[in-house]
Amino acid sequence: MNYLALINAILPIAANIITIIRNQDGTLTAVAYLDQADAQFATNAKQISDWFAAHGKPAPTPN
Amino acid sequence: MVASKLRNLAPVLLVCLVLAACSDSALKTTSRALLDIAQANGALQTAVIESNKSGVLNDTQAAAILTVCSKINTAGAEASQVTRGLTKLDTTSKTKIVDIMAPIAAAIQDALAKDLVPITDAALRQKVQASLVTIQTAINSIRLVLVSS
Repeated sequence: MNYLALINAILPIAANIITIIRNQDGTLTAVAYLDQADAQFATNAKQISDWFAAHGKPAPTPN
Repeated sequence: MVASKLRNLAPVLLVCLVLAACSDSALKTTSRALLDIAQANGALQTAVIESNKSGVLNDTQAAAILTVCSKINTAGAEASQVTRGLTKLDTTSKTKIVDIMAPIAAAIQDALAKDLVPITDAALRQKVQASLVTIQTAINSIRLVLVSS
């Protein structure tokens, strides 16, 4: 077994261990928070865009 | 042979695992606050749209608030993109996020200071103001944690 094979064997296990450690205290990871935030921001943006379209108004420009 | 290599690698691997698992607390706080902002903003714009449907808010009033909400969504998504993929917030990322949030914090402060829009319905007025204060607090917590860390 060479080093590359060794690393390939270890990496998936390492990823799992990281996930287990991160979730040990029951809290969500930063990435999970960001995933939820992004989904909510996208839903929010669509809701606003739909409202402006339904009222025949130009959608607000970003910032 | 392999076993001895593994034995040598084990301590290094363990340190790497622990370092990777202990994500930066500023990163966690920022991510959690961004989620709070997204949810509070979603609740706010839904309340505004419902109030517009029921005639409590006219189109002009609703559009004014939704424009602020839209800016919050854009800045929040942008801040999320900067944060994503990092395991630790470096100085450049922190400055970038603070810069993204600054105009939004100012816009919310301005909206609150100018009494937002003339909302006659007291309950709705209180709800809108409470939502904006929640968002403002979350933005301030991000700025505080990024500036002080």
